[in-house]
Amino acid sequence: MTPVIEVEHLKKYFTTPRGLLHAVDDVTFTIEKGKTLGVVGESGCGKSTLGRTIIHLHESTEGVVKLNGEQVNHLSGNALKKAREKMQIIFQDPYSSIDPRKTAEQTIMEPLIVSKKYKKSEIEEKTDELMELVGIDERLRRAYPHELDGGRRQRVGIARALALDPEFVVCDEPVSALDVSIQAQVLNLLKKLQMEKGLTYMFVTHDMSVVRHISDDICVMYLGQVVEKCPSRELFKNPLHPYTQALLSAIPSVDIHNQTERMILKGELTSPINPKPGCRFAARCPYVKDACHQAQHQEEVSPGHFVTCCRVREL
Amino acid sequence: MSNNQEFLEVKDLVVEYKSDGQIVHAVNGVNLKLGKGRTLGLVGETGAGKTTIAKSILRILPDVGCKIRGGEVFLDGKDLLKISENEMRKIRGNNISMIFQDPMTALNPVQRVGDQIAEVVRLHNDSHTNPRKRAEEMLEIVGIPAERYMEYPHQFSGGMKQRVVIAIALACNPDLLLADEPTTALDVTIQAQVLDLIKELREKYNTAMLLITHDMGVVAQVCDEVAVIYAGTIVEYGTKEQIFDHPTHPYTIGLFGAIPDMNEDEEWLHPIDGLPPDPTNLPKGCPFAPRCKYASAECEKGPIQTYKTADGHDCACCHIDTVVKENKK
Amino acid sequence: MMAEASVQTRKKPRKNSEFLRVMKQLSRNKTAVIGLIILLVEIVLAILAPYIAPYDYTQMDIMNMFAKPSAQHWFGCDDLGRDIFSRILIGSRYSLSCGILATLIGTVIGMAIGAVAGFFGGKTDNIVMRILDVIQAIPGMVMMIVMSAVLGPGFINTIIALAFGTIPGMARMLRAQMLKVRENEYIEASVSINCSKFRIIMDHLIPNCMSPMIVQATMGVAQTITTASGLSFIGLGVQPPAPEWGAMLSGSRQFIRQAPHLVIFPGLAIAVTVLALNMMGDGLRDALDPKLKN
Repeated sequence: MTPVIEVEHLKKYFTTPRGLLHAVDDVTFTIEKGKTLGVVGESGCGKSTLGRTIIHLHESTEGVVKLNGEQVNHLSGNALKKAREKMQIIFQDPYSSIDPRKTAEQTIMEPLIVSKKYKKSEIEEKTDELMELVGIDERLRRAYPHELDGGRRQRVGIARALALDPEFVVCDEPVSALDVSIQAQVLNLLKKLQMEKGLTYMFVTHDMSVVRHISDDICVMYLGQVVEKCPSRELFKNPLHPYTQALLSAIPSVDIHNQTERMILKGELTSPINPKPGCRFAARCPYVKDACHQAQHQEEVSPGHFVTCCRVREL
Repeated sequence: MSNNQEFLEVKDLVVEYKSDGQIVHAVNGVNLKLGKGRTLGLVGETGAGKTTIAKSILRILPDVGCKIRGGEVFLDGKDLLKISENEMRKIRGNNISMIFQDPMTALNPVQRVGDQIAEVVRLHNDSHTNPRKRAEEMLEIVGIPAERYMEYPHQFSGGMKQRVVIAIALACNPDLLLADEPTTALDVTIQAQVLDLIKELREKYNTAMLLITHDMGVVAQVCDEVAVIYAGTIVEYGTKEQIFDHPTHPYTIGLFGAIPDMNEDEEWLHPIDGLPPDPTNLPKGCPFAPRCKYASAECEKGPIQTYKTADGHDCACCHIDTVVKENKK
Repeated sequence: MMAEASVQTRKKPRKNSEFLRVMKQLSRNKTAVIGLIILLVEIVLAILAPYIAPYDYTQMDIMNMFAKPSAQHWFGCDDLGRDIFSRILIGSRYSLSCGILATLIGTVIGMAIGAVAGFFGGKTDNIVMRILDVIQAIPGMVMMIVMSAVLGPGFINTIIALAFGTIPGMARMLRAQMLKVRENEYIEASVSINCSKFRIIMDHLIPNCMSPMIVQATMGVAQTITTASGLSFIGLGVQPPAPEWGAMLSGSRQFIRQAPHLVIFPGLAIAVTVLALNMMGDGLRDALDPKLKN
């Protein structure tokens, strides 16, 4: 079966006054139907840009994005509109991703109206269905965003994304603006929807415990590049890239009796503008060697476990 | 918890806001105690009143529409709510400092970072210390080379800015540090650095700290004691070990349950159903009762008493025995 | 049953309910209602002016030159002995329509230009803004004089000239607002659900830019009325003896010491109109903002 999403050597560069910003640099992966790919990394690593480039909110600089085996990243006009209906996005901030002057109902039905595929009665019927699906009470139909709490707003955003029956949904940090107890409600909802509708997710987040919970496979990104990619369980059991190891050990654990020795990184993210060749993590890496400053290649260390680090086998 | 020699003591603090003719009950009778050199974690969700408590201690609540209805705040035996504004000004910065959540807005964008630290020193310290020298020293302490004294905030990354904010807060060796979500805006690896720095400095200077956060993981790493706050009321209060090993209040249990487990695989998470109560219209009894599966008529009658649990920490729940029994299974 | 009931409640046309909501909201705002009432009264008076004016506005009466306000002449008489009350009544027809119409036209055109510049950005924005820069670099009055001179005097031409003057400010303001609102994720969201550019501008951007525009527009009416007077003063606007408020004001400036009522009453008429418009504008802005619903 063809994977729902295939991304090959995708690049997205932005021109800035200071030079070329390599937001996404040569990223390759596939996502099978009904699976979730988690993309983790710190702010500025290009994970959000990657999601937006795949669903064509940004024009890609180079590379190929395929939806169900057909290339979609060069489309325009009606073909693009058709492809977009199959690829949707759920945004991070429910406070800014919903028009403050539209009611919950208006926001949810907008994609249906715009698609021009439905009659008025069908639109109303579908809106009701969607609201029930994501768990918004009937009485909140006419509520404005400021009258809803963060969790409900996010549900409105989810309903809007699902209105056109997409196959692939980019979840761009959908729970990071929510409180823990509400976050769990929304994560459960996303999982339920995936099971019911066979959705394929790309789940972008910086929260390792969330990504572990929801993903089948995980991609770790650092400054626009994928440094490690493997099944979720494998990543937490056997992280190979030094950055992944640092990332995992930095998570503050709730277990107060087994606080493991933490690997604290020195320094800060370097700039993704006009980066030098070689490993971008080298400046902060405790294991850095001369070879790290040459171009790096992705290696399949064990089946399904890809690492981009020239010293992975030694370490 | 050492009972004598409490450095900071908050007693029955009640704070209200007025908005649109409605009264927002932000803090409803909060009691806290903090010894010298100890760290108390104040954990709760958005709108639970965490920041209001810290601002009341520092007396920097907005003048308009906000009122401390009652209570006392003792710092070293002195009631901060009764002294004059002039005296308070001396205490701010000298004895108490606050670190705000967002390092991006806490710094003045058109002033050199070094000067921002030096300014605090100049305002609060005696004339013996050279502000510039002290500022350079503080930069080194928080791990920024002193050569960067002349740079502006936009030349710093988020983590560096938060370090500068910490340097400003610690420049006058305060006895009490109020840290309001100091790492929430930062990335995990940077958060780890900053938390480490805070821990190190606290030990070095024996500073007492009130750490406000919503992240149980941060609490686990940094705090000695924990107070769990819900809708302006402390629902559970004890040492870190007591709270993490034997959470007793249904809300605390729910909070732990809602975090995705890093060691076990589970199909579904266990969210707390419902939403926090409307702070303009709080339930008469336990604020958590509408979301609580143990709730009974008793919970809704009136203010909930605080009970001692088996291991000796405080828990404001009248079904404490049932909760303990059920959660043992 | 439940579902049926809900479908029943939804039969009401949606657009209408939105309009009703705004109206209801507006009616709850006392200041806005007072502003609206004053304006309505002014408009009715303007329409009925020829029938209720106690004197002919052109009738000179040497005996009553500079007469103080009295029972015969409520607002007194001007330097030619004409009844000021009658002149203000008749003048309201010119001033109100001039001020409100010109501002309205200018605002709509300005917003269209600003929306194009703000939404498309880049080259389009650059070109449009530079043209506006050039227009704004010419002093407003000079511009107006040129416009009126080209178009010739007369009521309609005055409105066109005045409307032209309000365009750059409005365009600039909407563009600035738009650049801010455009950054919100809901704009990106509307792209992802295939909204057309037109729909994004009309449905998402402009409603969220409206608040400052309404305030600006109501203030603009006052400005326009006074500018119109400037035009009449140099003989390019509404032609005398048509009594236009601004013209009355500027025409009697020289008598301000011996007969202040010549200036006070037309000035008051302008002030009351502007105040009423502002009160209503503020109320409208709040009513349109769902955040201030309660």
